[in-house]
Amino acid sequence: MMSNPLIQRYRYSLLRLSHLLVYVTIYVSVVALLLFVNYTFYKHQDTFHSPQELCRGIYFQFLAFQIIILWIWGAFSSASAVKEEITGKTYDFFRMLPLAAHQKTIGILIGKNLVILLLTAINCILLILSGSIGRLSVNLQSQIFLALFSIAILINSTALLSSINPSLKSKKTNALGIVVLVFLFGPFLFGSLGALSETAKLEQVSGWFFVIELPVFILISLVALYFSCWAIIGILRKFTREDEPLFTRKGALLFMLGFELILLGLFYHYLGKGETDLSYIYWMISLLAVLAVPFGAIRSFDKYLEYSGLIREKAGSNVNNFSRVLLHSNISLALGLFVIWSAGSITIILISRMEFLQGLYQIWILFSFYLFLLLLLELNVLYKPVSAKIGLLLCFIAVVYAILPPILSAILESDTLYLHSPVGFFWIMIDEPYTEIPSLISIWVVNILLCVIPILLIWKRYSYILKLRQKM
Amino acid sequence: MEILEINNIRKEFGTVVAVNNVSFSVDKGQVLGLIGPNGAGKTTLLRILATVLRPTGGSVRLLGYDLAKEYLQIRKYIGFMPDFFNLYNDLTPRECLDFFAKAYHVEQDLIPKRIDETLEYVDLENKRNSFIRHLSRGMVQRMGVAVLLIHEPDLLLLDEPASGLDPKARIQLRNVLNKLSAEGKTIIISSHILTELSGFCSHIAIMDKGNIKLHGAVDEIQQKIAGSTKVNISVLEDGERAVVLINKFPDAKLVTAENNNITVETDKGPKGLAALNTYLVKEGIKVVSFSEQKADLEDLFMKISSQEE
Repeated sequence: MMSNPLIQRYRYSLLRLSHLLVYVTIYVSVVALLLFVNYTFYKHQDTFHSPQELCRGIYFQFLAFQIIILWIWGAFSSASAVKEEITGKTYDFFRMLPLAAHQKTIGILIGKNLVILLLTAINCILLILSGSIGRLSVNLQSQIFLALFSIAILINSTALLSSINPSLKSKKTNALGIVVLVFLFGPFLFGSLGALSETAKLEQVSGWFFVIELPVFILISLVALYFSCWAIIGILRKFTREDEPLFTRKGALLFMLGFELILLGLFYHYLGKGETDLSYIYWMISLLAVLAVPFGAIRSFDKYLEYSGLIREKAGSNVNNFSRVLLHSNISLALGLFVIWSAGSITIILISRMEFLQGLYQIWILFSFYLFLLLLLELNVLYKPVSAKIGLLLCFIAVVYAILPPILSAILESDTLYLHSPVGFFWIMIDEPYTEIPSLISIWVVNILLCVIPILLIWKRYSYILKLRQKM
Repeated sequence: MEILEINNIRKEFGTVVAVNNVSFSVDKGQVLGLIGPNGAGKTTLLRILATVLRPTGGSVRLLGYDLAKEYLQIRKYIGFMPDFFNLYNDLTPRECLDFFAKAYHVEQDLIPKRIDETLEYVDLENKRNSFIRHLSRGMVQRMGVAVLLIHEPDLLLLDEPASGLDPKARIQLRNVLNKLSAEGKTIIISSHILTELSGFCSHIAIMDKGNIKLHGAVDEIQQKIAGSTKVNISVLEDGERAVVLINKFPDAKLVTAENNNITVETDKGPKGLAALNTYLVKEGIKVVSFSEQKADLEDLFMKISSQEE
């Protein structure tokens, strides 16, 4: 692995003695400071009652330090690798290297993080030492390491994936995004670490995956590894075909299937026990996925044009190319994703013993909301070449669609009007699951009526693409 | 020996057809100048050949490898210099070449020698341990050539290599390119500055609006386009009498005459030229020089453009 040319290239630039001295000095100072402060507490306060307790406290502080190095600094570093190539105008040389996509991926993830990995290795020794003196079991330490590294792989690969954007011109990093994430999740993460440090039998805290009981750290690691796999597949795909969307169509469907299975696995045990409220958390999370995945596999107008040319080349101009374009459109993919989501949701209805017919109606209504939003997305794709600001208009429509019904409902003191908003409908699903079926049908009818104009506009645009193709 | 074969290559960007079903081939040792105005599709074509862009249609074979499927193999045999590039500023030329040599699978034992030779070739051996960020633009451009040469590629693709260089750096780069051409390297070089390519290319392809308007050996194209040959004649004395004699000569047409320097046009080829020379000498004119005026690329390009219009 170390013979990877990219790792050697980063070794030249990152491990120069002058750079290394700076990093090591900062690291040694932080470690010395941590040890000094804790020892002072131990000597002069009653925070720690024994050397074991002191070492246990130090262990979790080193763990927090390790998280900062691996998850935050690592993410910054991984996200900057390709960005530096693009803004530094070396990207053409980089992408022309006769290295396979996996060599480039490993080269960047390891090479760009050489200093981080070096400090992580030293920190690991200190963690093991303090953990052993603090009498933390080997089992627990292994589980923590597994979770630490699998989440690090996920964060770093996602950061790298998000930076592969050849149209990027600015030198700015995604620093703002990472800072927001740190502020959002930092207190939660470090608070949890603090709480964990005080839990007596941490290794025995478990979770369920279908009928298998697993230590919670292992469960977290496995879920992180699932997403890491997809992030790495995304990187490999981007390094091979960077102008293509993140997911292939099959990839998007497989990801959704895996995601649904993982969610089902995590909720199965609890829903089987009759904790019906959890089913809405499941629905909310999986709905977010079914809304987000189409963005990762989206076909642009240019791709439609290119694809319709290929269809014409392969199938000839006499066959019904319109239906073929429709079959390979963003709409058909999103419908496939919704079918997978529906299968998962029906399973949840059955497991949690909800009222079956009511559940089916709710899925059906959610489909009508989904369809309208999906059509707005497709309109954005198809009409972007006509107006660069079409996205803004469509976003505005989506926001009005979500907030206008609740506002009208409040003004007109209507009990059902707010159900015409996807947000309002989802809220009532959680708060008051049983809704009169006639009200549900009226929502469905309104949504379908709303879809008519977008469908006509999309139809017109598909026809235009096919006509344009004939002229090219 | 044919090393590159391009068949109906097409690249579309939305409704814009940047390269429109282009076909041609390149033999080993050819220096092909890709000429055309800005937006003609030269860069897109070069980027397709460099495996940086995927074509919408058509096929390319380089040394027998299919560009669509075996692009990783192909990359080992080509060197591509983009129009706007930089190199790793945090490395020295030696480190940079070491990285590229390893990435292009040059044998480990050969790398130090190859780095020395390449740096000497581009006249940067005294900068081997300076950081690239401290090199001038012209030096970086020559380092770009060094990066291309480190793995001894079979085909060099140079996209506007002299753009943005000062005259001195331009001459230095030109010297390097002339050396490469003299050594029999196969090169495809694009430029819209025609004087940059004249005297350097063995073949040219003129591109416009994504199409190849004309492709072939420079001499053949000159002949094809020019139709007639221009000759510069310099006589020692009796310039006026020489003009009278030339006007009487059936196969030549006077173009300009200034003192003892005369320009004549003939469509009879080499035989016509020889006959004119003999005729003047026989008539007692002391001919000092008699040289064919080759149409340069600029003339050719302007002629093709005017034919198109």
